[in-house]
Amino acid sequence: MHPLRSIGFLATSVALILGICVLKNRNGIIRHYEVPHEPPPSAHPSMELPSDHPPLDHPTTDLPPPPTTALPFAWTVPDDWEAQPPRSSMTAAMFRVPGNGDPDAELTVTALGGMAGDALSNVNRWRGQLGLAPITETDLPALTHPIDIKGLDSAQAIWVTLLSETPLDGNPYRSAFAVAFFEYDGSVWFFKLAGPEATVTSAQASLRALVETLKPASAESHE
Amino acid sequence: MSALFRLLQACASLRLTLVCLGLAMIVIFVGTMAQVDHGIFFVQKHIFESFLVTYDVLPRWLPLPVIPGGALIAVTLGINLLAAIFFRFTWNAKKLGIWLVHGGILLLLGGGFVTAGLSIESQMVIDEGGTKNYSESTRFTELALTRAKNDAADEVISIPDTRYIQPGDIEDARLPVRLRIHEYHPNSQLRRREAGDPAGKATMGIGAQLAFTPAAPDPREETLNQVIVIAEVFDGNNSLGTWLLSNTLGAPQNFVAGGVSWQIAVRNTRYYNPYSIRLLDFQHEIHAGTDIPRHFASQIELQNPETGEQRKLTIYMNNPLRYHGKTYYQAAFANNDTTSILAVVENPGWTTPYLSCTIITLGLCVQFLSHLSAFTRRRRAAEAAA
Repeated sequence: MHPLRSIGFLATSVALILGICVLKNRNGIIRHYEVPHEPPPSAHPSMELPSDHPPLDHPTTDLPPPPTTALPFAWTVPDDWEAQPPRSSMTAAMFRVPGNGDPDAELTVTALGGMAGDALSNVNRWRGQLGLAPITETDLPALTHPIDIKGLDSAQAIWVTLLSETPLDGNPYRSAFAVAFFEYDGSVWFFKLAGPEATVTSAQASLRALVETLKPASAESHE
Repeated sequence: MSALFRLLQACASLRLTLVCLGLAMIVIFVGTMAQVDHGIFFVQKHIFESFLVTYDVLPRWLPLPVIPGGALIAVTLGINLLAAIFFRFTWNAKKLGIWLVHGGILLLLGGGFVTAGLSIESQMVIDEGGTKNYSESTRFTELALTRAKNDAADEVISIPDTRYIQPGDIEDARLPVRLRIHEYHPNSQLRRREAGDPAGKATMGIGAQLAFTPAAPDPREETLNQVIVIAEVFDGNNSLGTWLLSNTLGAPQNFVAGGVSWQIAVRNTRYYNPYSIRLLDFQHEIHAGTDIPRHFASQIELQNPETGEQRKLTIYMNNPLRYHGKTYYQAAFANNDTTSILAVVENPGWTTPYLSCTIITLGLCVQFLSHLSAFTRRRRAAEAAA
């Protein structure tokens, strides 16, 4: 047997086996890339849910499209809050809240199923979105306040305001949330004002007044 | 040294070839029968593309090998063929046909490995009027960290599922955080948390309101397994909380690390394209008076900002779109014929079966004609001598 042939055979065989090992292991590589900015979910109503929505009991592909959320109450919105098209069928209403010199904030009105009403997990979810550490049940009373909604059979909303410790996402301002949420008509309703600290601080009194004066839809159509 | 030479010579044995071919027939039979219970994907991965086919009668850490897998047989056949080429075949023009036939077989084997290692199958689901620039795997998931880099672009860091199926830490210079995988379940039943459910590990996001029951993975092609990953996120040594992630949650969850908002999600693995496809219309025609489909077609608009292309095309049965190394087939539809599902296949080795079969055919022809020519010459010589 010629030594050169043996070397050639061994080299080719090793190259074959190495090639196979590389092919088999390439699936474990972490990829880092950029893609065009993805617009908010809109394409497939049964496949997409808003970011705050709890998951459904079954794979979303098996479910029919969710119905459009109807409003069971009416409200009075400040004149300078501009209505926006909802981003998904689970969003009942959206408004752009002008910043008057500061960047605008956004009010989102969402209705979710009854199990979405746990105050601690909701507050911790929003705290996480602002980079704040989670709190425990004992901390909750100090951060939340009840609001009476006399027009809705004296329903009681939970009011919470949150502020990030530092500016987020390269913005020059700190981010803030003002949220009121309450159970009504079998759903938990969230009124979430999100935006720069200055805009949210100046608009939160109007939001609170809006929630306090909610009335059943049958009494008045919303503006 | 002589022992090594003997071993190398044994690699070129024709008996080894016959054993491999016999085992290949057994593996093909077993794989075909196993598709009934386990589906094509499972059989492909665990029988045809594996080195050993195991029978899990023992604990998972000690599976019992039953028969060699397709990959082991193919590697052995490849080495056997290489050994024959190096040690048994002689280099002369008379053997040209033999060389072509065996070269073609070697190319076929190599193409099989390229297909097994590099081919990607995915789906592009588009609604009428919608545009997509990516397709998604129906079998593999990824843990994706995403942030809006600017108004035009998102930064994505994608961790393949092979990195999080085992508990442990995932650290990488490209990751903004350290991830600690606590649990991985390839399939499960996810539901809202009820009174009496034991405390879950998730402390952040919507997972804190959820409970789940692990389930065996469903091998059927049409079923989406509900993958669940319980992951803790660390910014340095500071734990930001633990999230429950699943490919069926429908939307990513958020955390902030280093003053930057990130979205975290387990989702079906995405394969992005530098071009996009817009579904203009989906047509579904049936034979009159029946539910039997007659014609499916997707009218699409291909948009490639790099080349400036913007053209309208129709994809229908047996008329796929081949573009940028990918082939788009009309596969299915949904939502009352308003959503089209295209099967997307990317296989860099798709030409090798055609090429190798052509070479093998050519080699057989050369071999046959050379034998015929030699036979004719001998016969004429014999006739002349008579």
